[in-house]
Amino acid sequence: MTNVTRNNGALSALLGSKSNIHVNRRWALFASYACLIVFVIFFLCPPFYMLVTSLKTNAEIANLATNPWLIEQGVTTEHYSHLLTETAFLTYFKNTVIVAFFVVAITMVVSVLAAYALSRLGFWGSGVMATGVFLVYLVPDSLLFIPLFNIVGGLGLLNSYWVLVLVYPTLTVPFCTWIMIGYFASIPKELDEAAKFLGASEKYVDLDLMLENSM
Amino acid sequence: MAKRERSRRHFLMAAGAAGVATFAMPYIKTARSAGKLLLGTWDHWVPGANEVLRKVCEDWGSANGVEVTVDFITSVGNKLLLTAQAESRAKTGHDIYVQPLWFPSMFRHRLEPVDDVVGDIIAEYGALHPSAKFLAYLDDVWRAAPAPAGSLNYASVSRLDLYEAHAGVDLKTIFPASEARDPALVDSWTYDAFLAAAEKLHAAGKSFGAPIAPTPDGNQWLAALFAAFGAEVVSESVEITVDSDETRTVLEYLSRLTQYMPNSVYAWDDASNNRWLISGEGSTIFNPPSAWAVANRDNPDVAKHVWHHDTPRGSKGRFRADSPFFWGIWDFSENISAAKDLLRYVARRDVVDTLVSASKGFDIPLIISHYQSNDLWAKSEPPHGVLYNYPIRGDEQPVAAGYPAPPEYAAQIMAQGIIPNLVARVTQGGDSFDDAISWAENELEGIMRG
Amino acid sequence: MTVGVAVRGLPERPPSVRRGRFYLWLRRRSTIAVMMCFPLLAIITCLVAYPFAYSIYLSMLNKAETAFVGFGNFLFLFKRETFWLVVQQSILFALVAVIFKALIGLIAAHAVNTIPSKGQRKWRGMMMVPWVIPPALSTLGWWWLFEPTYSAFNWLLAEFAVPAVPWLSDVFWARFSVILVNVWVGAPFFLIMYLASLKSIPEDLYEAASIDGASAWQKLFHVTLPMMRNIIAITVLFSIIVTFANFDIVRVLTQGGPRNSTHLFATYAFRVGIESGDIPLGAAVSLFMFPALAILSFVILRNVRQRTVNI
Repeated sequence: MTNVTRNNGALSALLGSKSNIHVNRRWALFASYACLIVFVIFFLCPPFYMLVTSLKTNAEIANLATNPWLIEQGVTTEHYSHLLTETAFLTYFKNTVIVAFFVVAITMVVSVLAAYALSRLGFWGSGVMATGVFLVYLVPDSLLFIPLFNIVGGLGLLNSYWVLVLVYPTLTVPFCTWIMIGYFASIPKELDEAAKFLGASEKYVDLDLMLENSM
Repeated sequence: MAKRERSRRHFLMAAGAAGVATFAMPYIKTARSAGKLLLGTWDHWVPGANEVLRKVCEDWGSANGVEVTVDFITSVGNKLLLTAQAESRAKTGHDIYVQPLWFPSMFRHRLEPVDDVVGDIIAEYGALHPSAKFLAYLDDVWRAAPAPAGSLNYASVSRLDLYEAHAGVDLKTIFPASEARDPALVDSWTYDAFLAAAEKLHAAGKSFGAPIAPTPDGNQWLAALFAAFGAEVVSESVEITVDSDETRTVLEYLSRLTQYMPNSVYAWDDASNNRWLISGEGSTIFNPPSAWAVANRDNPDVAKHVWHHDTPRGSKGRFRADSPFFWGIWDFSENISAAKDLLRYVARRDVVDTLVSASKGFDIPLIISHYQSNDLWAKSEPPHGVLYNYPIRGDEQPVAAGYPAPPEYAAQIMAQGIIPNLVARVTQGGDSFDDAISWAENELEGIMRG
Repeated sequence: MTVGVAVRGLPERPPSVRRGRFYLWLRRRSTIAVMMCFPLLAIITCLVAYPFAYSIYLSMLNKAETAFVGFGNFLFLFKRETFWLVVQQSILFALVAVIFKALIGLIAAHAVNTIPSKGQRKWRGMMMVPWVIPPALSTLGWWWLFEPTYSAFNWLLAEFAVPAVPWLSDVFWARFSVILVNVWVGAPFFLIMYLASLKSIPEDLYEAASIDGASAWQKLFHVTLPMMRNIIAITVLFSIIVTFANFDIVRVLTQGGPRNSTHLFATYAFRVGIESGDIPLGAAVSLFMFPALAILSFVILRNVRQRTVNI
C-alpha cells in the first residue's frame, strides 16, 4: 500500500499537494462523469430535438422566433395521430417486423451451422473459407446493389418484401458467421471430448452444447 | 438508349446501406393482369391535392370496372427519377408513370406510343402548349400524354409590402391582376432593376433567395436567367458553346446578385426557398404557388402580401422556366388499353378543373383551352389577384434547364447540375470566369460521350 | 481462429456394398461439415461473388451498354477533376472520422469503466442511442439541425451573439458536418468494443505496473493500449471500410455538394450512374473502392494474425 502511494509521484505532481489515493480516485471519478455528461449531451441532442419537434404545432415550427429546443406553444400529438391514421405507417411497421424476424431467423441458422463447421469440424479448405467469410464482409454494399437488383428481378420478387428477406442476409450472414467462429473457437475442446466420453452422440454435441455455450 | 433483348435484365445501382434502403429503395410494384391499373405519379407540394387526384382516378376505375391504385412518389432527392429508372430497367413496375420535363426523352424507348390518345385530345379540346410538343413528341411519335396535374412554372413570387417599403417598387401596378398592363412599366422591369431592388431588400434584411445547387429549382431559375442573357451552354446543333461573351456577362451579373442573397443558397433543396418565403425572411423567390399555399396555412400574415408575377427582362427577352408534366405508359404494361382510356379521361375539362382547384392553381393545364376557360387564377385570394400572373400572360417564353440543346443532352445537363455548379464555382468558390468555364466545358464533354 | 481436426477416414468396403458406402460417406465428418457450410456458400456465391463479378463486367461497357470498351470508363474517370476530388475526400473522411470515433470511443470506454459498475449500464445505454437509431432517420434529424433557415444550432449560437454558421453550404463546414454526423453514428460501436476489451484486461497487470512505479499515463500507454491492440486494429479496419463506403449520411445531408466537395465514392457513383443514366460509369466509380479496401484489410489482418500468434 505504501509503495503505491509513494509511487504515485507523477500523478500527485499533476494534482498538486496530496498524494492520497482517495483524491486520485475522486479526481478520476469527477473527470469520468464530466466526460460522460459531455458525451451524453452530444449523443442525445438530435433524438431529443426530434422528439421535441414532433410534439410541436406546425405554426410553432415555422415560427423563427421560438426556441427550437423547448415547446412553448403547447404540446400536440397531432403529428403522431396523423402518422398512425392517415399514412401507411402501420403497414410499414408490420413489414419491418416481418422482414426482421425472417432475416434474423435465416441469419442465425446459416451462421451457426457454418460457424460450427468451420471452427470445429475441420475439412480441407476450412481455414481459407473462414478468412474468406471475413473478407466478404468487407465488400461494401454500395458495390453489390447494382447486379443484386438484376438477380432479384429475374426471380420475380421485386414486388414483395421477400426481396429484403433475400438480400439482407447478404449483409448480416458474413458478419454473424465471423463472430460465431470466434465464439465457437473459444469454447474449450475438452468439453467436446468429455461429452463424447459420456456417450453423447455427435449431434448432441453439436446442437446443444455449442448453442448453450454461445448464448 | 439502345434496345435490349428481353432475356437480358438491366439493373440499377441503388446504392445504400441497409439503414437507408427504406429511404432510397425504388418504389416498385409489378403490373398485374388486365383489369388492374397501377399509377405512379408525383407527390404534390400542395396539401390535399393528392387525395383529390386519387379519388378522381379511383372513381373512374369503379365506373369502368378497372381496379386503379395510385402511388404518390416524391421528387425530393430525385426519388421520382430513381423510381423511373428502376422501373424502366427492370421492365416491371407501374402501368402509368408520371413523366415530367425531360423524362419522356430519357425513357422514350420504354414508353408506349400514345399518338392515338394525344390525337383524340387535340381533336376534342384543341392544341397543346408548345412546350408539350417539344418535350413529348420525339422522333415523330408522341411518347406521353399531358398529365392532369403537376405542370408548373417558376414565376417570381414576391412580397408586395417589402418591395414597396424597402425597394420603392410597386409590383402590383407593374403586373396588375388584369389585362390592363402598361407596356412601358412592364418593360422597365429588367434584370438590372431587379438587381437594384435586391440590393435594397438585402440591406433591409429581407433578401431574395434562390438555390444555387444541382436541384430542379436551382437548375430552372438559372436556366431562365441564362436564356435571358442569351448564354447557351450547349447549342441546338449540339455544340459546346458555354465559352462565350454572353456567359461571361451573366456570370458577372450573378457575381453581383449573389452578394445580395443569403450564403446558404448553395445548400438549398427544393423546399428551402418555400421555407424562406413562408418564414417571412425572404422577399422574393422563383417558385410555383406551393409556397403561397402553405403560407396560407402556416403563416397567413405573409401569405396576404404575396404576389406572383413575370420574371425580369434580359437583353434577349423575357424567359420563364417551366416544367410540364406528362403521363406515360410503360411498354411492358399489361393493361395498355385501360391505361389509354384513363389518359383520355383525365384530359376532360371537368377533371382538369377539379384538379386545378385542388392544387389551388398550382397546376397549369397543358391543354390551352382548359387553361383559358378557367378563371381560378383570376379569382384566387388572399390577396385578390395573387395568382393572376402565375400562368404566363405576357411575352415570356417558356424554357427549361438545358435549353436550347436537344432533350437527350438537356436532360443530362440538368441531371448533373452543370449550370448551378458553374455559377457556384464563380460566386462561392471564387474561380475566375475562365477557370469555371473550362471546368464546365470539361463536364459537358463528359456528357456528350456515348 | 480455426482449428483443423484430422478427418477420420473409414475403411474401404467392396464396391458391391454400394448403398452402405454412400451412407457412410454421408456420415463422414467432412461431408457433414461441407453440407453445413452449404447455405453460407450459396449466399456468398449468389449474392456476393456473382454480383461483384457482374459489376466488373458492367464497368467495362459503354454508356448505352451496347459495346465493350475495356478500361475506357476507368481512363475517362482518371481525367476528371471531380473524380480525384472524390478520391481525396473519401480518404480524408475515412481517416479523420475514424480517428475521432476511436478517440471518443476510447475516452468514453475509460470513463464508463471508471465509474462504479452499478451505474455503468445506464450511461452505456444512453450512449448507445446513435448506434441504435437507423442512420437514415437520425441523419434527417441532423439535417434539420443544420438547415439554413431553421437551424437549432444557429439559434443557440445567436443566443450567444455568435454569427450563424453555414453548416451545409460552405465547403469546410459541409465537410465538418458530414464527419460530425459520421462520428456521432459510429462512436458507440467503438465504445462497446473498447469497453469489452478494457474489462477483459486482468487487474494484476495494473497492479504490477503500479508496483513498478507507473503513473496513470504510463499505465495507459504500456498496459492498456498494448493489450487492446488487436481490438483497436480490427475496429479501425471495420470503421474505415464502412466510412469509406458510406452513402446515406452524405446523401441525406448534402447530396455531395456544395460544389461536389462532400462526394464519396458511393454518392458520386450514384450521381453519375443513376442520376445521369450512365450505369457503367457508376459501376466503374464504385469499383474503385475495392482495391483500396482489399489492400487495407490484408495489411491489418496480417498484422492481427501475427500478433495473435505471438500472444
